[in-house]
Amino acid sequence: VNANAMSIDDFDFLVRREVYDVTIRTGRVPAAPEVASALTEDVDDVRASFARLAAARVLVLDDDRNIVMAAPFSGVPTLFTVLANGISYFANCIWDALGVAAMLQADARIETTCDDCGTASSLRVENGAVVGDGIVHFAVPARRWWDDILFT
Amino acid sequence: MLLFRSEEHVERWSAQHGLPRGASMSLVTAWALAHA
Repeated sequence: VNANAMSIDDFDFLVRREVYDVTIRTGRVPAAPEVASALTEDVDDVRASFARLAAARVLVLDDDRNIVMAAPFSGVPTLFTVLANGISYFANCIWDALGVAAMLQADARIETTCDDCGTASSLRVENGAVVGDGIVHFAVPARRWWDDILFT
Repeated sequence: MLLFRSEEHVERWSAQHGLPRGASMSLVTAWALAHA
């Protein structure tokens, strides 16, 4: 695939698909060189694609242009672990942890803690239903999520 | 978005962080929306 011969949208779609394919397969969000190698593309083209996908709010990058968030997955360890299909994933928040289970369409176990008291909490998704206790709290209203998406 | 043991924990966490209390919902509702 020649990135320069494709429309930006097509190339970015390929990059996004590779990011999500690797993440779902391994539980680890890939870096630009890994995506470039898989697509046999130039790493700078992939990094440019990452930037465009971040501008479109598909990805969130850190200062070194690595993926921090590929929602609902997290590129860095978090307090929200989702175990499904024998693979461990990090989610960005409890909302995204449920999103990982929904995306995978699989039974899952979600491990997190109450952010107030630190008590461990284990939830299960079984046969399409969630089993467990707790209250999901949205500290930031949806219209302001992207003011600071990492805090959100 | 965080998970809390109860509404009481949400209230305490919000006060400790100096934040107005936000919206909350049950896990079952959140799970239903995750499929939307």
